[in-house]
Amino acid sequence: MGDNISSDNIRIEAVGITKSYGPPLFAPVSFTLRGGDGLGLEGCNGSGKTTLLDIISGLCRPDAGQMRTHGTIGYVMQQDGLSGLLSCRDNLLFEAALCRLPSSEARSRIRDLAEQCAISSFLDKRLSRCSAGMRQRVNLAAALLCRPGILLLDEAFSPLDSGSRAIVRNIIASCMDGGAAAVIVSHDRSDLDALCSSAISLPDSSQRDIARRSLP
Amino acid sequence: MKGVRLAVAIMLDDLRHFVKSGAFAVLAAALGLTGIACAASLPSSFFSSGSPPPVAIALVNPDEGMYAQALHGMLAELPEVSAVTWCSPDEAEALLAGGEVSVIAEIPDGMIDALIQGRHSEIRITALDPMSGASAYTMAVSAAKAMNTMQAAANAYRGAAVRYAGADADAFWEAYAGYTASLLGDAVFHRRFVEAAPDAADPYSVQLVSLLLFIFCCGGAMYVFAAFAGQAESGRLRRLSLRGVGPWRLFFVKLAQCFIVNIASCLLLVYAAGALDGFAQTSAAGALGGFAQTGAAGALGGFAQAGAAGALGGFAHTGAAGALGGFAQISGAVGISVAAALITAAVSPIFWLLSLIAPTARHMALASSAVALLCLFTGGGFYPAHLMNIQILRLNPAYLDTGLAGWLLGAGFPDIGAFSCMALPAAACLAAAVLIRRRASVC
Repeated sequence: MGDNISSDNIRIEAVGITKSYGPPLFAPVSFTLRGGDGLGLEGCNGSGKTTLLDIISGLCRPDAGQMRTHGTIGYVMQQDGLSGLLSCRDNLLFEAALCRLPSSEARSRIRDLAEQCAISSFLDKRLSRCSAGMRQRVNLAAALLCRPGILLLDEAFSPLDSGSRAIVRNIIASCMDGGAAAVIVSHDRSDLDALCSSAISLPDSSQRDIARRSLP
Repeated sequence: MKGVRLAVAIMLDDLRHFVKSGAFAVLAAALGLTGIACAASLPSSFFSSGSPPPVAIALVNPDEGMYAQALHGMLAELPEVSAVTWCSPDEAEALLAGGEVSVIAEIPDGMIDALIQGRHSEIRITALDPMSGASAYTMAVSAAKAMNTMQAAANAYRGAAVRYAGADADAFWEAYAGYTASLLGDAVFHRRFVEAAPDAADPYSVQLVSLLLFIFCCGGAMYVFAAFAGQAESGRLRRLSLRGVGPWRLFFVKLAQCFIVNIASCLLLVYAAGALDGFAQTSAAGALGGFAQTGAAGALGGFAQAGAAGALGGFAHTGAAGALGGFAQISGAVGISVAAALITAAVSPIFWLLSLIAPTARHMALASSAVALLCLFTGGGFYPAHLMNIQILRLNPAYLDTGLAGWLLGAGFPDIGAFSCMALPAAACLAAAVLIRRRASVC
């Protein structure tokens, strides 16, 4: 991976993370993820799952607590930030530029990821003309471009059909086998069961405690 | 180096977005319409005549000595001048207001003595309209040559008078004849004289380029921040932020982009202005001139003339281009680029703020068009309307300032209709932007 990883392979350390927009969004959250670990995030709408991912990625600052990450972050966002006006390839090339990849490396990496994510057939198609599932796979490819040590997936499986879902699960599993830690937000427990060793359930505003459980 | 590559990638991404989004169409339409309005504001003679027509001038010259008489004779012989009336300042103002002369050339008292003694002195040119202003420019250059020759002659005369106690007017004419071809004198003094006469700048290249420059600069900033609004809309800013391109860094990338776009477009504009001048010389322009004579063009021309002059007036009072007076002195691509950079620095934050408010790139384009039109049409709208009403366009920026003060003190009221014509398009644009935004937020 070439990332600056701590000696005990810790990728994410969260200690007492809280965030509030007026009332507190969730009670203090603490967890540690090592390379190869998967953590599921569950909760109803507005419980703070995306906010927690934003805090991990550094897009958002916690009100209290400490968040330490070791490794490059690949983030599959709900609002993907890809341009519908550009082709899938142009979108990936722009992401590669943001990741400061040299152009030759970027092209070969895009080629590899296109194969892996099964997007080769529509790589030069304008993104706005792609289906939601196709777009989501491009979104995933963009997140994987920088060879992330930490993978954050915000409802990445939602628009996918069963075939695409299997492809994406395999890609994420292979990333985790390669030493990446993944934090996965999903409303479908089967996704979490397949990829995560534990899950955190963020309560809604009427509850206080955060439930943590192990997954099979 | 990687930072530069990243900035270039962002700029290219912007360009791709802009070209493929609806913002391009909106901005192209807004800028195109403004360009047409500017062209329509030019007098028909600009299109139909290759060279400026001869103008009648009023010569205000308190110095009634033989030098002034010589100058009078020289001006009367110039092909650009149809008639010279020697009169007092008040009479000259009356002739100008009555349309009997198009230009007042005012030679200050003691100018010849000042020149002989090496002190600064300048002719003041007051023109009725831009066309006569163009002729006034040519005339001022010719007059400068004449004055330089006379200065040399006067020096010779003074020398002769010292050497020969009985020297008289004949000695002057002899000396003058001997120095008419004094090229050295022309080369040395002509330059100084023209520099001392800021009014004598070509009005087309100054006014038109000033106006278009402002529009182009607004257009450049609008384009950049319309693309930015598009990025915000699609969540791209979060993606940029994730990769270490935060809001401030992005702002500076955008600002640099504005500078590049604006300076490049203004350099193009300099060449385009040259092409326009060339076009004005062609017979093809005659057709346009013919159209400009028609009543159909009258309404558009009347509106655009007020609007364009409004922009000019507003522009003259902005610090962005170092004011019109300073700008009038700028010639060449370097000066234009500096002005473009200054305007960019002035307008970019406005469009940056707009882009933070606008929900989409198209809203941004629409809202920024409204702001640009507001700047153009209402920035100096009142005052030039007043100027148009009294049918005198003073080319001296210092006089513009004086005139504005006079207007503020109640010397005259703008035509309400003219102001309505100027303000309504801007207000309509702004209202449309607000309505569309409200509708978008409801959806």
